[in-house]
Order: sequence, then structure tokens, then C-alpha cells
Amino acid sequence: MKRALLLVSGFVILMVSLSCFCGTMSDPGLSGGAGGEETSAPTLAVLDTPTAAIIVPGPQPTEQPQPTSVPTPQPAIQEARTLVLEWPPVIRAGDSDIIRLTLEVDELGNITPTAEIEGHAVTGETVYIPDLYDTHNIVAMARLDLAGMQVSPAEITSQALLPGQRVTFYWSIHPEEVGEYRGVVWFFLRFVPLDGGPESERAIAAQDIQIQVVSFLGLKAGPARILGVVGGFISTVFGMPFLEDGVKWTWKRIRQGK
Amino acid sequence: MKTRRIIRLVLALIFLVSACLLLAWAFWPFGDVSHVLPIPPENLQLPTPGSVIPVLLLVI
Repeated sequence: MKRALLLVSGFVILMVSLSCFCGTMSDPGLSGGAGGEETSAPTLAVLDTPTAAIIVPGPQPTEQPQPTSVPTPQPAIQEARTLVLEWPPVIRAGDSDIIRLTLEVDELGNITPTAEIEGHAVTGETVYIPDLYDTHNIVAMARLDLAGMQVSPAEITSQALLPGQRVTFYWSIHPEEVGEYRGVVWFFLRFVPLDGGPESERAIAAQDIQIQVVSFLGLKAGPARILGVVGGFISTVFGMPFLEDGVKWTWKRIRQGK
Repeated sequence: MKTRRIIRLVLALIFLVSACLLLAWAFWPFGDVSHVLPIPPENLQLPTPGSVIPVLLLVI
């Protein structure tokens, strides 16, 4: 009986040592020997003697709390801003009008940057965000794409964006033909680092506009005004005798009333 | 004589109405449309590649 127990225990020890040896050969992390990279997985230490194998568990990530690290926030513009686009929905053919795009400072929208980290106690804490004005020159750029209509300026226009100040872009449009015109007003911000680093650009908004150009019985705005004035003059000439009669009749009534 | 007066009166009225219509249309203010677009704070930051990838993942 004792011999059988000894045989079984020897067989078990042999199998364990063989499995450890195979595991050592197949583990790529340990195959490199001293040149192997450090890993955070549980480490496997193998002794030279075939009868001893010790498994040392590595540090469990769930047992020890990791130190809370707040990510460094990107520099940002410390203002709430709104884009206000004003355009005429209807224009007379031959007339001109203005499209205006304003980047305003939102007085009510005070930005309070906060951090919220899921699973940790930091919630709603005020975070210091570096002001972008301190590190960059910011250029506001805008462009109006409106096919089939004369637009001035046609190319992209830019203005410096300063803290607390609004920026306004104007375009003059002059349609000659009747129809429905669609366009896009683009707005970009260009960030120019003060230390001479590479510039970056960001498209902020692309707003669709639709303008209807109309005429009066085929007449454009200019001829319609001229004809209106001429018609008024002709009607006065034709109606002069009746105007005279009317004045006389009114004067008589006033005198009779007295 | 009376017929000529009536014709003259009708012509005067036609020209007057036409002129008023033309001038009213030519000077009528059509008004402007205004659209206010608040800019999200994340758009007022420096563009980073990391800010683009999550959007792409959401699209995919």
C-alpha cells in the first residue's frame, strides 16, 4: 500500500514538473530570459528543482485602488459665444442687400468648467483650463458660398478675435436674375501659437441660407422705381383738372360750413 | 366734352394705381431672417486628433 502511494505521489510530482517545464517553454514573456519585458500579469516563478513550483500571484488591480488622475485639459476660449446670421429671405432682382454674420459674446453663458470622473469621488469640481488667448492668436474667418449671385467679398475674410469682443462679417449680394438661390456661410477659427508653433484651423459652423429673388411682372427693382415715378407724374398731369375741381369743391364746402 | 373728361379721369386713375403699385413693390422692406447658433465649448478648443476619433467611431 505504501509503495503504491509513493508511486502515485512520484507520478504526480513528475507530471507537475513536466507541465511547469512546458509552460516555461511556451510562455513568450519568459522565453527571453533577462531581456524579457516586465508585465503586470501574475508572475510565474519556476525553480530549477523539478519537485518545487511556486505560483506567486501578482498585484490584483481590483484590490488596491488606483490613484485618481485628472486629465490635463486643453486650452480653451473662456467665453460662451454665439453665431448670429442675418440674411434677407427675399430680394428684388437688380437690388443689393447685406448678409451679416456676428460672433457675439454670450453674456449669460458663463463657462464653469467641471470635471466628472466616473466611479470616483471627483464630481463637479472646477477645473483650471488654460486660456487660449494667452497662448495663441485667434483669427476668425468666414466665407460665403452663393452660386449664381454676385457676392462681395467673394473670398475668405478674416478678423482677429479678441477677448470679450464681437466680430462681424458683412457680405454684399447683388442678384440679377429671378430664382431661388441656396448658399452656405462658413465660419472657421484659426489658432496661431505665440511661440511660433504650427497653426491649426477648426471649422465651427456651416449654415445654409436660402434667398428668393423676385421681380414685378418681369420688372427689376431699378426700372420699377423709374416707372413708378414716371407713372405718378403722368397721373398728376392727367388728373390736374380733376384735382383743381376737387380743391375748389373742398374750399366751397369749408366756406359754407363757416 | 364729357366723354373726354371721363377718359382722362380713367387714365389718370390707371396711371396712379400702377405707379403706386410699382413704388410700393420697389420700396417695400422684405425684412431679414436671423438665426442664432450657440457654439459648444468643445468647439472653442484647439483641434486634437483625439477629439476626432470618438466621433468617427460613433459614425461607424
